[in-house]
Amino acid sequence: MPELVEKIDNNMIFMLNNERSPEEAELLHLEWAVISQLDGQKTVGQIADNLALSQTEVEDIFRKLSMQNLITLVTRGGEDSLVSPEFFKILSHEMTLLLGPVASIILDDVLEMMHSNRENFPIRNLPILIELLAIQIDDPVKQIEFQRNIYPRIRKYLFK
Amino acid sequence: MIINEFLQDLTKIPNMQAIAVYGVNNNLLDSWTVYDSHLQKLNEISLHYFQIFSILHAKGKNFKEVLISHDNGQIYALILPDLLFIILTKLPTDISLIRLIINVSVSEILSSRNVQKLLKKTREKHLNFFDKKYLDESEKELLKKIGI
Repeated sequence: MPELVEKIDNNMIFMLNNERSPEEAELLHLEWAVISQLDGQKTVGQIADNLALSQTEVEDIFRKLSMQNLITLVTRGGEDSLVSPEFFKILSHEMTLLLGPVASIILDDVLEMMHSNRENFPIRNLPILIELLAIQIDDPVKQIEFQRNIYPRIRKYLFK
Repeated sequence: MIINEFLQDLTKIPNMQAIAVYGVNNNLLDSWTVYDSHLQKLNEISLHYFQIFSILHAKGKNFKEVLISHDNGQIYALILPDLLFIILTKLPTDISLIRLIINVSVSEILSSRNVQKLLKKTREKHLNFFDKKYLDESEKELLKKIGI
């Protein structure tokens, strides 16, 4: 039985409960829209943005879906799941070695594309960030070199 | 040996179910499963993947990656010049993390003396998955239809 979540936070991530189909419940149009966004990756806040829902609307919908056991909490989010801003200094340094002085601008562009920033970056998004940054490096050998250099740093976040 | 020595982090990813590493001649080099009972399933799925890749290759379409949804999970295959990885996971799993771990490990794997010995040993044994013994009647018919 999934954990009943009464207090919904924007950093939380949910996925569909495999043991109960949403078709077993009577859902409104907006509730179906939320269900269709659940992928175990998007936060409550991102889903609210995607569907242009107010804070009250998104909280009510997630609370209802949780009470009906239709969704399962993947992670609560919060400060524990954020990357330290110090990490970005190291990342920027590694990128500068390969890309030169534009590295910091590229890093901020990619973060902006991910709707994030150096102060508020979720640990769970580190692998995709590294992948997007590696794509910015033209030389495939240097792409791998960058990934090899930075992996030990992100590893301690991902497997703590 | 390969997974234990070089790809331990893959096995630590939440929801990881099974990993298989194949050499260029379609020979299994190493595998890992959460439950022993998954090994047979992994072998069957891998066989289907090899058949899919062989068809794509025969049609001149060389895919480097394939990701397919499967029950409550997904099957991911990554083809590198010397190795092929087939990975089964439950959802949610971050494919970019799997790709990253493989990318950072592959040169170490290929430069390992033990792995080189293993690759050399299996080099002469090429497995052709279009061989009739691997195909049922409907698959044979399908291959005939698409001209393979």
